[in-house]
Amino acid sequence: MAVSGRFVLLLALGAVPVVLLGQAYGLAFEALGGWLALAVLLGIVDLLLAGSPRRVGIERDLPLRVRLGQPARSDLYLTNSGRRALRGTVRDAWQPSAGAVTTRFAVHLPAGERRMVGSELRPFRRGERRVEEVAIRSFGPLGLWARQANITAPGRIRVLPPFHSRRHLPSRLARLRELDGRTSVMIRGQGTEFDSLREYVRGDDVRSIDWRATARRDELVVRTWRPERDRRVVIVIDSGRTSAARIDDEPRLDTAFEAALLLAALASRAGDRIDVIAWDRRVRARVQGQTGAELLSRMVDALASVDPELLETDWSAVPARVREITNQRALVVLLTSLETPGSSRGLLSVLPQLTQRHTVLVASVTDHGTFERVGQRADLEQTYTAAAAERALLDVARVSAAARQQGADVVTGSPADLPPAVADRYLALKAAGRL
Amino acid sequence: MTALKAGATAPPSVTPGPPPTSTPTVRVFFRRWSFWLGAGVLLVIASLVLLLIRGVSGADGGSDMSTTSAAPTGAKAVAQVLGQQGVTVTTADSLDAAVRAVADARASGAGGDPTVLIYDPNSFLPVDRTADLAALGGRIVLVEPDIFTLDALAPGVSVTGVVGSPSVADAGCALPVAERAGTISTSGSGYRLEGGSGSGGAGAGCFPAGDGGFSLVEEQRGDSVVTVLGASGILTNEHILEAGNASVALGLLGGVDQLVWYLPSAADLSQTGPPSLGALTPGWVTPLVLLLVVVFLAAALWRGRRLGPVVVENLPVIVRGSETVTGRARLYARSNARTRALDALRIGTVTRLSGLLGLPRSATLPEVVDAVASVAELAAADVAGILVNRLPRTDAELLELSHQLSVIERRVQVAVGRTPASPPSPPSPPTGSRS
Repeated sequence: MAVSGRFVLLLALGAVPVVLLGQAYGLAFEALGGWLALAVLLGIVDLLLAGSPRRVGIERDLPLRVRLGQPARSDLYLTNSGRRALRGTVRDAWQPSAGAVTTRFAVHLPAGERRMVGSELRPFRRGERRVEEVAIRSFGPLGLWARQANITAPGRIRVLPPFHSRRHLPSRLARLRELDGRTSVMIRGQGTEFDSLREYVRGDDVRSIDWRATARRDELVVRTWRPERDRRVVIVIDSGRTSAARIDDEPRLDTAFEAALLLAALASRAGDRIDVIAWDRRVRARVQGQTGAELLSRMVDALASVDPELLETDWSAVPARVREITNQRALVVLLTSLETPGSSRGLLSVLPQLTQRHTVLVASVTDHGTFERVGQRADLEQTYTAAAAERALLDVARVSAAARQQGADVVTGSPADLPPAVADRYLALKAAGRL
Repeated sequence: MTALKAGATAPPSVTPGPPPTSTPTVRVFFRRWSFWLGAGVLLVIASLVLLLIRGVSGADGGSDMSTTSAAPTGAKAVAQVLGQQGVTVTTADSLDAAVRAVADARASGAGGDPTVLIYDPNSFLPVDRTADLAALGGRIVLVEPDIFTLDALAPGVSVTGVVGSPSVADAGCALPVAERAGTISTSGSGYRLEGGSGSGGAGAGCFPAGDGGFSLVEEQRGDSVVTVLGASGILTNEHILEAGNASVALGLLGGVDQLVWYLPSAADLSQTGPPSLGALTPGWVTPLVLLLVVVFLAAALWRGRRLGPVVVENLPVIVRGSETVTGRARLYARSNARTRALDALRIGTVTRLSGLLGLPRSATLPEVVDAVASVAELAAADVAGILVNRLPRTDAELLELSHQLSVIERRVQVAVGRTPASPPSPPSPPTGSRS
């Protein structure tokens, strides 16, 4: 049950009879009692005439997925199966992070009819956004008292990682196409494969002339090469505690998702096979054996609900996980953080096992603010901060050097720079035939 | 990516019959809360019954010396016994009521003047209304009067002081009442008959109570008898049975068959003062205030009633990546770790300088110092002091050395042709393509 502002006003108007009757006849208490009785009586009548909120059927129309930053439409179909018309307010109890523009709707539902109310959702957090209940407050014809009930009508929408870094994709794809059809001199390496023969044009390396084919025809013919295909790329996303740290107001984990998505989009176009796991002490998400557009949709879907765990990542099990995925030589991309020797010890200790069999690329987000702080030394406090920042940079340099010594490749960058940097390194490795 | 956006919509669920609600119906509500509702009703009934019983037993007001109070300080016992002995006890709470009661008693009774008991611990008695006081007649028992009351009604009696420790006193006089009793327990105040008052009165003091005072003093003036009873305790329910208390009480108060029990109260004051606030306010103010309370409660219900459930949201932990740097800087500052802080700055600077100068990673510190000195056109000893040797003993020295470090770095940058961005220049952050 609920009361309206109109009822409060009605009660307050009782001051008039109380004062007038009290002043004229000394019947103030009688007037008070009479007015309260009248108001409550009206309220009860109103309540009895209100349509039942429990007789409202609710259907949801909701997209299953939406990308973070894009709006979605959430509609409710309300069917009044009761005998009386329902006038009142309906609240769709979305989580705040679902970003519903309106959650309260004024409705008028005649008996037996159906109405739609809806609002736009602008979710501002990744993952599953839920709604469990719809609350209906039904006022009577006088609008004094209302019946109220919560109706269970669960709904959920999966908010996918935004993939902002896809704007880098066209330029990287162009570079990938440039790799195709180059002559061997430019990309000579053991991994390149013979592609086709074509006419010699001025500028081609004379060493790539296929003399046998030239002899069969009357013109010079050169061999062309294409980058190797059908290589394995295994992306391991660290979802442990260090991935929770925010740099430029973006958690490391989200930057890792961006980098993984861009790399996957690029590598799948290049004909490689991508497998992704998010790992801390167990597998939080896994995408295996997918290709093409399906790969990316599976990835965003699987990664959407992964959040940083407050756990130390168990690196010792990572080689076994990679072995589960493939026995072939693969490019293993570790999206994690290289910060201090202490926190990276686990990673450094298993790197030799990985580099023995695979090409390993370690990608880590660095903080631009740290570099800026090194230069600011105006007063004592800033000098100490500069010293601490310098120490942090030295630690990163030491850990990176150690990782390189173990045979891994290291890529660092700010949250905006890291995804394209990882893609570039992949292209470089591909061009060099090191996959 | 478009495949993701065009996600299928959730199938609208068809709900036959009433939809599931989480708000209990009235019946379910009462069933669920029946225990507590029952307990509450039981509590209300129990307290009502208790109130009724206590009210019947005469615990009204509970004021001292009240004839209806069964409390230890009340005087119900003595009043009831007097009533059984045929004495009509009339209570009065104002002088007007007392005078009226005396007049009534005179008119009805055959025994002349009634006995008037006056007990006035709060000094409500209007001593300036002498005419009304005189109308009380000639048989007055003053229980523990103050000096103003004594002045008005028994000018020949004066107060000697408060009786310190309660004790049992012998009569020690010839008054028949006292002789019959033998002993009483003294308390309250002591009184003395002024021998040389010259007022023409005669009397006696009984039950000595220290300091030359007596607990019972009787003053006779013509045909009027004023008895001053200092030991007020002997009339109370608590002490009436001790020693000869009951005997004195009945002897004093049961002398004639009419007794006016006058306890002056606030009603005596209103006669003389200006009209009180309560008398000035119109009769409708209290009902209006009650109405406002009801309006307030209704408004609280109106604004406070929630539409639907509270929605729970798991909030992400926000850890800024720069927190470690800030924390380490504060640790440096707190422990005045000047040398350690400067070491970090020096190592960073030397590393960058050797990079700028193109020295190999294996270059020793003296080699770097020499190279820097020659490029920056500074004395080698100064450069060595700044880069290696000097110890910062004070904060000022730390600031100066850190400034010198930036100066040297800038000079070298200028000398090798790399223009510094802004003084003091931050080191260029490593980009993703650096390996």
